[in-house]
Amino acid sequence: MVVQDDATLYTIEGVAAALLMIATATIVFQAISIYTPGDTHIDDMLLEQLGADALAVMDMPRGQGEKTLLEEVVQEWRPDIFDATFSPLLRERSFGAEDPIQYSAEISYRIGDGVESVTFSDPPGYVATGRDPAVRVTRWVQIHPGHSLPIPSTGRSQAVLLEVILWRG
Amino acid sequence: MGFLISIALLFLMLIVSQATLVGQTTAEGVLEFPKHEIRDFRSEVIRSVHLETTNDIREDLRLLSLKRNHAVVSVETSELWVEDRQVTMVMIRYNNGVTVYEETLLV
Repeated sequence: MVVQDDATLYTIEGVAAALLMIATATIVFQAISIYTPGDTHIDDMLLEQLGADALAVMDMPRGQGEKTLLEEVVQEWRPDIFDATFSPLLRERSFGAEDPIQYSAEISYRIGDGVESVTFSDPPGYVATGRDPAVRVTRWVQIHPGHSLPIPSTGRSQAVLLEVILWRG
Repeated sequence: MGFLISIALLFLMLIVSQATLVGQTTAEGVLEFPKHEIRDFRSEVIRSVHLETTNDIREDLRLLSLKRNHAVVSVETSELWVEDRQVTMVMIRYNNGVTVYEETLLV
């Protein structure tokens, strides 16, 4: 009787192919879940984008040569109007509940060779957990003599930096 | 035959898994580029070119950028005549240690 080894070869091929397929499937599924704990800064970057966009919307001139809403609220020192405009831009969503984004805004200005800051808007009503990562967005604002900011008067037009800290509360 | 097909599948899988990684890296690079800061700074410089207090404002921009945004910025302007019309050439430089940006524009 002649012994044939064809069947053995087919078996070896089948086993090897099966192993390769399993390896393929494993790697494909690993490729989908590339979101590791080290990637949480992507969320932060999205939040930063949202905040910067909201400030950009407020910093749109209302017409040719006219001031922007942001300039007006800073010049007239109206944190209430700032809050009323800024927080819907941040929090409103097309569907579902509001996004619980918290913020706090301050204004930095130059005095001589130094920089000082004054709090512009710090809405209450959030519970600080102490572990929510915050991001920071800024926007330049030009103010002119006669402004109502609680900062030393320089008697000239000046550029101040509006800084907003954002976090999910 | 089955063996060859599974090797082909493995090869295709390698390409697919790389595509996801490449997409993620590109998106991160785009998001990390400080485009808001640069655009905002640029528009502020353009708006202040013709103000009387330009030098003071430029110093405001420079110092506040350095201390609050950790970016070195510099603005140079020079007057030019282009076909009987005076224009200002503005050179903006921005460097925050990661991104270096330079732009020359006519205002």
